[in-house]
Amino acid sequence: MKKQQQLYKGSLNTIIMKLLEQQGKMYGYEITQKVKEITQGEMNITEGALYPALHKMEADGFLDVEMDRVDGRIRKYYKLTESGVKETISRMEELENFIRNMQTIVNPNLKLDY
Amino acid sequence: MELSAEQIEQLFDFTKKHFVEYYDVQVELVDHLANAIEDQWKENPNILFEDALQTEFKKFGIFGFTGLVEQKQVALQNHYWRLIKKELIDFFSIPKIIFSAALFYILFQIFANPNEWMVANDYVILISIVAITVAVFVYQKISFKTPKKWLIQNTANYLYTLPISLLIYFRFGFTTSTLNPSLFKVLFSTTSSTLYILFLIVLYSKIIPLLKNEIIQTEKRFQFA
Repeated sequence: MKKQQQLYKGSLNTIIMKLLEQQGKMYGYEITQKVKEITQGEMNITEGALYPALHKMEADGFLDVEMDRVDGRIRKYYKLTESGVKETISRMEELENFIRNMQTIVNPNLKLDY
Repeated sequence: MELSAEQIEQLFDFTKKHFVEYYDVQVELVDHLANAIEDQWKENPNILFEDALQTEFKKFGIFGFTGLVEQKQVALQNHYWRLIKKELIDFFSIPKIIFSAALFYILFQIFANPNEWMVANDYVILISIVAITVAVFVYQKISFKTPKKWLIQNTANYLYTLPISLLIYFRFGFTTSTLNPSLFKVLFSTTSSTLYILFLIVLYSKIIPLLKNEIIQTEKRFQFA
């Protein structure tokens, strides 16, 4: 399980971007919970990794932020910018390629199926 | 069970106590902690607020919130450095290179043929440049002040000190101390002065307006709060 976390780590930004693409806008805590829910607890995004990733993407102009007042406190929502949408597409392509290549390496017999 | 207004205040104090001085970062952390504590209460309503808070804080790792703030500062600084680099490179491509070349030529003429007054007053010139740079820095710092402290202001302050830091770095390049300087000294002075002036142009014409706009936007986003 722990080793698996290392494998996910490299794709953290792509995962966040993909989620934002699907959900429109999300806040930090929501992202951690959503990932946990989708992967049934397999993947756990730590706070120490999530926020630096979000902040870096925000600084790079891939994410835009929006504030809202919820339950008496202010909530910071993240959403993809135009360049963020383009970046998500290209990162998803890269990730899909990677997965395909890994599958071929791990299980060469799969090739026969194509 | 939801957190009370008092507990939200306690969370703000908690982030301040853990060295988060910027309001925008405090807001994000407070909301995160509040959500997490409320989720803990859904599982077990008997957990004490303080205990739930400590459990959540531990999840931020050994550096706590400080690592997070530092990484955000680095991300912003890198972003603006990339912009500066891009704008500077622009000055070495057509059409702006004509301006850069003209500036280089004029400065070369000044440094290659210094008059007696320049040589006699080299320290006066240097001190004047330093004084003006510091005065501009102080003015900008004051004009950047807002009622609440935003993280972007840290980046703004960092970029504002750059003219002073670079001045210290290039201090031998801006004046001429002899009537017959060596070619090496002339070239060094011309190159460093040209780069410094180009940097100032980029900083004051592009980067600082961008930063000011970002601060205004940040304030606007929080206006309803």
